[in-house]
Amino acid sequence: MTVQPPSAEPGDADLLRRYRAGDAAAFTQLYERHRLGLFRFLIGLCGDQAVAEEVFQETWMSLIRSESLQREAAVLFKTWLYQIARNRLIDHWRKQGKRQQREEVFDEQLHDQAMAEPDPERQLSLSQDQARLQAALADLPAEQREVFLLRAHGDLELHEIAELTRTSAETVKSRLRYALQKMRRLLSTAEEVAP
Amino acid sequence: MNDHDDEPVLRHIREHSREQPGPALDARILAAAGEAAAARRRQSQGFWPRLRHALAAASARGRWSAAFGCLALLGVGLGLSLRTLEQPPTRYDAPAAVMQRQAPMAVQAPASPAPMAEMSEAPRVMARMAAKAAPPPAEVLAALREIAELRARGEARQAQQRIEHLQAEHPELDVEAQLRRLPER
Repeated sequence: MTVQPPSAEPGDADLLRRYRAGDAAAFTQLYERHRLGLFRFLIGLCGDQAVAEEVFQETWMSLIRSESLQREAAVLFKTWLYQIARNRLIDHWRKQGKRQQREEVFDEQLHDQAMAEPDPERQLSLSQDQARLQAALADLPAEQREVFLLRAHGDLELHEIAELTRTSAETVKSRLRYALQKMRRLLSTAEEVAP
Repeated sequence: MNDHDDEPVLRHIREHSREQPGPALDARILAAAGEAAAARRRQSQGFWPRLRHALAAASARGRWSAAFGCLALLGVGLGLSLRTLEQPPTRYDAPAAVMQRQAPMAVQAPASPAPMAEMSEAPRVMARMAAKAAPPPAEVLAALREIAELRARGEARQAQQRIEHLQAEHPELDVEAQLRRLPER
């Protein structure tokens, strides 16, 4: 989980500026601050360790190669970082031709309805918390999953998620609400049926 | 979204997520970032610090190779320069500066069919130049006048004997040249 740095610690923009001036330690600090959140966002979105690692590396490399300070400074560094990662993953899916399989038509009305109860047999087989979480995430529609992961692992605010995904704040709010409801139900049911 | 009801779910997700990038991946990214930062630092430095850093970073073998390479280059350059100076231009339209540079060499050792003969003439040339510089002694001058008078009277044989005698006494003397330069009385 990405933890908001205390006020005594330098901000992301300051660390980035120092790194651009040749301070490698500033990058290490920046990397340690965001590596887990970004990686968990990616693996939650694609469900594939190898793909997540590839996109994760490309994202950081693009930051390393970039000479510009302006572009990152114009928006919040974290928003920019997650946006790069998201775009890289979409590019990967396009190349692999898998995006269409994962893309689902989002229908606010449809997802507002109560969700069907998960199969108890299936839940019983998921003995580990991590596997249960992954299964719960996989049950979410792609757009809801993305918003939920950006909130949970990226610790982004609604307006930042809206900017990143280029959707309205209301849509983001709605997607997050449905995602949280489903996750709550999925997890509570799983805990009930888990041994 | 700041609903208090949602926080437990988010916290649960955060606490139970275990995925993380592998150590090799971390190392790759941090190494790339370190290299890029070092390159940026070098860019902001001057020429000499950058050169010193490059030499320090190079292996011992690399440093020796660079040193030998520089020496070889210097040797080739020097050799070519000397060779160019030794060879007079054969073209008539050679630059004037080149011709002027070659002129002293041409005076001392002009290209001729018999260079060794020219070299044997060198003492005589030197003597001639010395003779021009200083007038002959009085007794030599008297002998020269005597020879001139003998020739004027048509006594060539006696004149020749006198010349040989004078030449024997003063081997460095160019008698004929001195006779030509003898002032008229």
